[in-house]
Order: sequence, then C-alpha cells, then structure tokens
Amino acid sequence: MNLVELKNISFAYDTKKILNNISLKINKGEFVAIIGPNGSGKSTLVNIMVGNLVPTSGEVLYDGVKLTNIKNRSFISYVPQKSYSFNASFPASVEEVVSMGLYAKKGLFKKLSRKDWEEIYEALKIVDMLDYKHSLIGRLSGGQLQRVFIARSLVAKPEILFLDEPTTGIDAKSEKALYAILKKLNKEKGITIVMVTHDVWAITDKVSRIICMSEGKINEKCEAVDLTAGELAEVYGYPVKITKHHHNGSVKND
Amino acid sequence: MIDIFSYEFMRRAFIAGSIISIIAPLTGSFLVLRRLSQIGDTLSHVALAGVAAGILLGINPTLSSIIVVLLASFGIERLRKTYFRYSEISIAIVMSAGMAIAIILLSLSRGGAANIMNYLFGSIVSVTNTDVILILTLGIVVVVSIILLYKELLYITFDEEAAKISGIPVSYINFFFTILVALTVALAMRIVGALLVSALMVIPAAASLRIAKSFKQTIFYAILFSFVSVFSGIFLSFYLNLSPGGSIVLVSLLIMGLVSLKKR
Repeated sequence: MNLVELKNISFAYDTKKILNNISLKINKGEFVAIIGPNGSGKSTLVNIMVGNLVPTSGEVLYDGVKLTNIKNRSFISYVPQKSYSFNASFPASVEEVVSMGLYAKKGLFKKLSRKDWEEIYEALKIVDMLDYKHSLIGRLSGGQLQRVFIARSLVAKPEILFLDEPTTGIDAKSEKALYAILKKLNKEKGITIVMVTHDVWAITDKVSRIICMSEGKINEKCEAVDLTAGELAEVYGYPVKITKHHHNGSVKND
Repeated sequence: MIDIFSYEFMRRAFIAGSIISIIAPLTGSFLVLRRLSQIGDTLSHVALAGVAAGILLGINPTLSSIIVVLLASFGIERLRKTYFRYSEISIAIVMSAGMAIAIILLSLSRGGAANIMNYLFGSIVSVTNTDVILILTLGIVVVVSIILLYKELLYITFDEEAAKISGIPVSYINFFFTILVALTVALAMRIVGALLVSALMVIPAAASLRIAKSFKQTIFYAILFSFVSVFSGIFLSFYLNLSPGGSIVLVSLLIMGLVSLKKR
C-alpha cells in the first residue's frame, strides 16, 4: 500500500524552477534513498513531503489523504540537516532535547507523564545514547548529536522518518553505527525511511530503493540499487569515479 | 541595625522586588537564548512614555505604562513583518518613538520631571499599594503562563523551525510571549528603573548559562541569582542610600563575575 504519493509536484522560488512535475510513490516499510547533485532539488522535495514547503502545483497524499487536510502530523517525522537550525551552545540536556519530540503530540498546557519519560528513555536506548541523557547537547560529537535528533523523531512513534543528509560531518565509525540504527528501525519497528544522501555506496546494501534526481526531475533509469559509474554520471551530469574507501564510497567530480 | 521590615514602604518594596526578581529572569532567559536581549531595553524606553502619560493624565503610571508597552509590543510585531529583512529596524523605531513621546509628554506636564526620575532609576520609597497589587497579580499571571507554556516555549527557543513542523502553534505562542515580556518590563521598571530593566532580564540568565547543565537549571539559577541580587540590592540601597536599580544590577554583575571564575 502507498504511504506517500506525490502527484505532479512542481516548485519554484520566484521564477526559478526547482522541481518539475514530479510524481512518486513510496510504500509502507520501504527504505528509500534520494541521491543527486547539489541543487537537484532533493532537500526541497523532502521539505514538500513533510509539509514544510507548499508546492507551487501538485499534491502530496498520505494514505490517499491530502497532506493539507491532515491536522495531526505526528506520524511524519523529519530530521533536518543539523547544521542549519542548531545552536550548539544552547543549554539543554540530551533528555530535554529528545522530550521535545513529544510536545506537539501532548498538546498545550499538558506536562509530560512518567510514561512519556519512559518512552523518551526507550528512544535514547534505541539510538544507544541512554548513558548521555544528562549531558549537555553542546558536549556531544556530530554523530552522537545526530543520534539524539533521531531519538527526538522516534519518541512520537512516527510511521515515516525523513532524514536530510544525516551523515554530513560525522566520522566513518559513527556513520556505520547510524546506518545500523536506521536499518534496525526499518526492519524491526517497520518505520518507512526516506533519506537524502551523498554516500551512494555506503547505502546500496541497506536501502530498498534509490531515487536519483537531477535538475528537478526524477531519473527513471536508476531506480536500482546496483548503480554503475556510467549511470551515475548521467545523474550527476559529469564523469563520476567510484572511489572505494575502507568503509564506503563517495561521488567525486573527476 | 534598624529593623528594615518595620517600615511599611520597605515591606512593599520587598514584596514587589521578590515578584520582579522571579519574572525578569524567567522571561529574560528565553529572550537571551533567542538572541532578543534588546527587546527588553526597547520596551522599557517605551514604558517611560506610558509613565509620562500617566503623570500627565493623573492616573497610576504603572498602569498607564503597562497599557502603552502592550501597544508597543504589537507595534514591534507589526513592523517586524513589514521590514522582515531588517527586523532590528522595528526595535530601533519603537525605541525612538517611545523616547520622543515620553519627552514631549513630560515637557507638557509641569513638575512631572521629578516624578519620572523614580521610573528612570527605580525607587523603593515611592512604591504604592496600587503598584504592589498590580505587580503581584500580573506577576502571577506571567509566572503561571510561562509554567503552562514551558514546553512549547522551550521547543521554540531551541529550534523554532522544528517546533513549527512538529505542529506547535508557534506564531500564537510568540505573540503571547511578547505580551508577557511587555508586562514584565512595565512591572520591573517600578523598582529597577527603565534604564536597567533589561539588565535584570539578561545578566542573571547570562551568569546561569555558565553553570547550568540543562534548560531547567538555566531558569532555576537565573531566578536564584536575580533573587539574591534584588534582595541585597534593596538592602544596600536602604542602608547606604543608593539607587536600588544601580545596586541590584551591580550585585548581579558581581554574581556573574564570581560564577565566571568557576569552571563548568
């Protein structure tokens, strides 16, 4: 069954077209990666899917219902690129940050209950950060921080989790741990995952589908997980060399 | 030592002072973390226009300043939308408008100039019963509102974008919070003085940031530091015949200095 369906989505800033007539279906339980060069519209597409941006034309449907008609959106969760809106010197503890994921669901004027706190600790346990619950978030490494933000997304028990470049700026070991967590969430908790990423070869054995974007469109040719350098070159618009690191590969402008 | 509490006006000053010492850092901590420290300063200048209007019209200046500051806070929000690319402009415009109106109104009311000094620099002897009742009731309104909206305010302060996406009514809460800040400024001005109101909103929070290990602790320490500053400031002002606002702010700066020595 389709969880998300995009129908003829276009998006433009002023006169600049970012997305051009995109249609797409994502099924329940999928683990989808969206790849593509900078400026191809990946993040814009995700922002439209979570309801953060309103498309110029087209519709976003969840289980057949228009997103604009859905009031309670706590089943959708979004982990943005952390560098944008995050102030590292903010005096909040890890548990406080994770608890924020429950606030909207809880509603105005209501305090968190003991059961809510149990769920917060459970989410921290899933991302293996329970030992840090009293730490200041400013003291964490990039990878730990990303896991805390994922925990914040998990407490509201979402059905679908969107992540925008979750591995930017974190080391290889943390990256591996992060992917293991995502895979576990997908397989064991049945959470549908949609992730924007650059790490093409790090994800091929983890995701169920890769969506390639270039110039605001979806490239239908590369909906497989075993992409060749030639197919990628077509997506990225320049020759691509596959460089295998000890942990993964990455796309480089050659 | 003279029993300071045997004086009626000192009892009033301590009641008003204790409420102010709680609400100023309570709203101030959120402002500091949202990089809006200047709003307190702007609103306190506008509050002076309210005081001048009150003196001229013969009504309680604390009450008239509350009304004027509330109107100004709506004006700031309005201007911020008009000049959304240069939102500091709204702060500068409202601040100058407030000062200009205050000066004009003062020159119209003969003899008002002496009275307004109490509001510029703060005063403990001139706090009236009406002031105490206003500060007590509205102070409780501010505290209860912040307790009720605590989790939403925390989320908005931490990450406004994420709060909005998660479904928190961010613009309503921001608007309501501006009202709470306006009330705090108008009430705190009575004792601390318009020129130093924002100091009491900012300095205890700044000191607290050095040692707090969570947001809850940040608020707790800010209130603690502010409480100590206000009480010792009023004592100093009484025994040494100093301005209460100046004494309070100097004590809070001293606390900040001491806290800075401690390693986190």
